[in-house]
Amino acid sequence: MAAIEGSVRALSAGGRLPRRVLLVAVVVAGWMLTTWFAGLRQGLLFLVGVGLGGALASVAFGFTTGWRVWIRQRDPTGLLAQFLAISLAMVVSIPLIATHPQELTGAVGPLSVSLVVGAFVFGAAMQVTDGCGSGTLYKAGLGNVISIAVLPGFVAGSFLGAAQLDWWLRLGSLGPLTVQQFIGTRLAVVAQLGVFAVLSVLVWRARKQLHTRWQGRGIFIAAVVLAAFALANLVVAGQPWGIVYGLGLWGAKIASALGWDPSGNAYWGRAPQLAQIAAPLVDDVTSITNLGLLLGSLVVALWRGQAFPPAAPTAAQWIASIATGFVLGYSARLAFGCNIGAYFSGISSGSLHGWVWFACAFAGSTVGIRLRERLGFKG
Amino acid sequence: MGTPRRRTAFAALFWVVFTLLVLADWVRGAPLHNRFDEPLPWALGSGIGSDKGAHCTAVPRK
Repeated sequence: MAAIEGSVRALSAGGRLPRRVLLVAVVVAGWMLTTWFAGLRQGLLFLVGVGLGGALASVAFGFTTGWRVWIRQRDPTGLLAQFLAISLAMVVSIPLIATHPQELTGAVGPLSVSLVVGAFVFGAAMQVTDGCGSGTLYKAGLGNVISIAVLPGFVAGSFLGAAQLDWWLRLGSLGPLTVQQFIGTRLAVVAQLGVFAVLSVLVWRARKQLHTRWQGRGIFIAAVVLAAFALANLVVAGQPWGIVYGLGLWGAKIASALGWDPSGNAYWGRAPQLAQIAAPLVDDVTSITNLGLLLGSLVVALWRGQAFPPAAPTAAQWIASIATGFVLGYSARLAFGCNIGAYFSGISSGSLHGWVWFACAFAGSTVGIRLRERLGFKG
Repeated sequence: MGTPRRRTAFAALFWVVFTLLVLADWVRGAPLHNRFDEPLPWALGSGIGSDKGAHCTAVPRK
């Protein structure tokens, strides 16, 4: 990618092609290749991923940072933007899934012991590495060395967490439950909007920090864009936006290539998983949005001249990042998703597991922030 | 890793390795896609059920 950046600069300097035209050309080439080799639907999902990565990277829309600045400084901006994005996605997603149950599936996970443990641990780990599911991907895409170090462990952890999920579920599970099961579709939308409204008022009234890192309306515009692309993901893929399944699948593919037989495993031995392991990852709807997200964040960062941010981690921080990446992946699978699959898509599908995830991960974040400070990470 | 050149080299290495892995996976994989029998580009309105096993909320078999 350094070669690409160098080429872009050289061509721009020569006046032959504007730098930004070349960046658009890279995206178009990626879309055309994906469409040719994996089909129209995968091509569209690649573009959805590019849009998601671009929206995240353009304003540093961090779920992790949004929580941390609230816990530390009582800056409500990041949390409010998250609530806005999820609310906008939810008011369309829940009715759409209810009226098209054969074609669209919600992100509904079971209420289980594994969910509580996994979400708490994930919340702590994401503060240590300063990146949740989406944050790790988009920062790795734009060249953040810590996030790049986190990613391999995230992949391995997601794979192993899914492989051992049956054991964790035996500790206790109520099964998947949605708000609309209890009060119907319309009331579920109203009730969830009400909860977000109350939470928004509470965090706004408790605010202390007025000089936020997110200046202007950018983060709220990004929230609207994220909701729009998340809805596009639902309409095109037939399921809500997710990240961690794709990372686990990459791990399963690597393990399979090294000789592991997935057929005996309770998770990876299911027919849909076996088919996905055998197929190219560009055929998987989650993996292709992940690929698009990585590229979209890089393109936006290069466009704005913000790629490859400064970082000089110590040896301890390197080791902590790699190890915590594994914990992130493993815990996300126990919790049936990360901040995207569980928090964003779970709540916007009306799944109760999304709310439990939010509460447990937020509690975990308060612990993770102290760990982060102890390890000497900045920010 | 503190110098811009090292950071850029590290990120470039990541992208090169990642691209090679995607290419190797594509060469090794058995494509599900038949470009001469494309489904509708979007699930909504297609009349075809979505793949219920490929999301973070999928559970193991019992």
